[in-house]
Amino acid sequence: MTEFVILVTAGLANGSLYALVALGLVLIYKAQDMVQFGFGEIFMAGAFIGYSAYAYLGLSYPASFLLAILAGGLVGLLIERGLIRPIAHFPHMTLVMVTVGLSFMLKGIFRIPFAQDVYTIPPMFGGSPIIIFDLIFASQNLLTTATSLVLTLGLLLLFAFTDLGKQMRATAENMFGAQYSGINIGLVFATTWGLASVMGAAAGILSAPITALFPDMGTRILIRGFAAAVLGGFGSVPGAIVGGYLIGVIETLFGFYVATALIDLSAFLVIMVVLIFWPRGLFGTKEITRV
Amino acid sequence: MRISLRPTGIGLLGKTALIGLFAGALPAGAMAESGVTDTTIKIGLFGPLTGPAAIHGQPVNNGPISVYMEQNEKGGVHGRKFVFVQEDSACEATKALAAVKKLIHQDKVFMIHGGTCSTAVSATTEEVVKSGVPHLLMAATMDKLTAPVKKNIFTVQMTGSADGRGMARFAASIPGVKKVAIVGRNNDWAETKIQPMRQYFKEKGIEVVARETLEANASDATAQALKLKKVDPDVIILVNYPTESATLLRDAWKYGLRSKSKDSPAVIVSTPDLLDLVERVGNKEVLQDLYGITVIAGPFGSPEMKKWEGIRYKHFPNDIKKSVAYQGVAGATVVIEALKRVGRDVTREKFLAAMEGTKGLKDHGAACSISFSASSHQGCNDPTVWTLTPDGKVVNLGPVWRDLSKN
Repeated sequence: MTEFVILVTAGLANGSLYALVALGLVLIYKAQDMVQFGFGEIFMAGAFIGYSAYAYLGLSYPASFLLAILAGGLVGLLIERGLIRPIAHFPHMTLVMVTVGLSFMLKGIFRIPFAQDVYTIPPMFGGSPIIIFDLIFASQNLLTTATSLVLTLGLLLLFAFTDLGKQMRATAENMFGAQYSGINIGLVFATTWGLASVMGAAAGILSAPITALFPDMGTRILIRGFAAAVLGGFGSVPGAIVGGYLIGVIETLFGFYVATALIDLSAFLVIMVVLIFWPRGLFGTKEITRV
Repeated sequence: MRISLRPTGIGLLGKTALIGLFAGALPAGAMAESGVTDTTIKIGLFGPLTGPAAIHGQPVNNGPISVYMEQNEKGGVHGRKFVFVQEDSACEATKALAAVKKLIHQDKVFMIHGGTCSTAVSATTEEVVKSGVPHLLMAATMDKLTAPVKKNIFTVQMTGSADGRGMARFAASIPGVKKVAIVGRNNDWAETKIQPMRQYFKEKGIEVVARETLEANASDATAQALKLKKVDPDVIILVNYPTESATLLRDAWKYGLRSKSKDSPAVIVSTPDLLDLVERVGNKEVLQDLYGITVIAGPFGSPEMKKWEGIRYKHFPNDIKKSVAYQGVAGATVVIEALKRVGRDVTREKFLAAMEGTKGLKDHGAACSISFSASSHQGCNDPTVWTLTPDGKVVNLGPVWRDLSKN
């Protein structure tokens, strides 16, 4: 039982990063009906911006975190305004291919200063973990989980209680209807990309103390974020969150109870099983089209 | 914190370009062999200059390059100076093959001194053998790259099987060891080390109680740490790169697999940079009973490495200060000595014969005495093991365990 709780706790910490990435993917998918294949590089950019603030500017970890997510949001805004909006009316495949190109471009940019090594930020809590009864909670895991929960909650509150959030939901439901009712669609799209990128960058800087940073680090997290979004039901915000946590927990439980060799495979297995047997995912709804 | 210092690429490019321009301005003269002019010998290098294994790229390449540049300052070898071409393999098979094809067919190098990341390098073997271009491996360790013998491929890097046997021999020499757990990647590179390790333990009657997988760049090792805790090994052997080794060490401490207790299992890792590993973990207490296997002559800053560190920082003053960057240094000395024996009339055939004639070569930055023969192109298979003293100093223990407190 003790092991199970430890595994679930560790899985939730990893899963919270996957949830943030899945959230970012889903936000963009809901707004513009496209998968942002360059989202792993937003994660990577957030990690390196945070790292640079910490290592070169000498900022504290919280200040570096703040700078990373703000910069991540700005990158998202710039991508929407500079790359996506001019071709927003192009075929779906064109938009998707632009995001693939974006992925290569961002990797290329970050390889210029960071290609020759792997980097890391020391853990915020390097010492002993918190032990309650027989249960061991790693401080860094708790910090990661709590921060991602706060961000997720903030996003949900924004959707529920702010005009901008309601406009974003309305646009996701019916873009043309929203436009006819006077909603500034451009602002909604820009905000969506900005907020999605804030989530990706936050996941990146949160991962910096627990993993190695290198310009190609985004692919691994993109696959897990994608698996989380698929599991939750692509297009569902609560689904992305739950899917992320579940993927994290599945990985650690698979590793312990089945085989550690399956940890990296488990995200792919989830994608395959869900697509075959449960294509709408946990929270996905059946689309009804009037003909 | 940043793990390493850098900019070496621009300096190297500049120097290479200057030497290249100078060479290009000279008449072709008696061009004895592809990649050889009256005044130059062109050496091709490839390695993971980008990507997650980039720490084994430019920093490792700079080791032999600095030795070649030092030789250039002495007038080169028989009047010829070394010029270099570098390509990126990114630790990927397809890119490694493309890099090697470019070096051989487009850049027309005399020889290749490169290749890090065994799996990627193994994809280049067929092309290299077909071309006949001499190839001295840089830091790739997989046995099959050089065994059975390929006429034009050599290594002075410890092979995977020697590495595995060396780790096993050291583990078995620790007093009271009966149960060993092995953690590693799930690929050829790791298995090349793990198979001979298992064989050695079987011969010594030591039980391998676990074989767990820890994949590249893993950011969590909770499942592995808890599984290892259940089997309670005396020694854990990590066949991983430093990034994921740090993850396991961190989680092993976190979940009580390792502690300050005397019964805490020792850990043997595949990297000599123990201080770097401790820094990555962010917890100095993990240094207890931590051992790293290597063929490098001595820890960073030790008397054994003074000469090689001096040469490196003379040519690359901003280069990283880690032992891992010295993996390829010994090879440059081997090449220079072989070319000296060849004389002025350089051909690939003569060079390969001279390489095979290398016997008992010392003073090259590796812990071994380097020898090749017609039946073995693996020149250095005697690893040594380093550890950390309680005050955080890296010391060379030798091939078997000894009690540092009794020194």
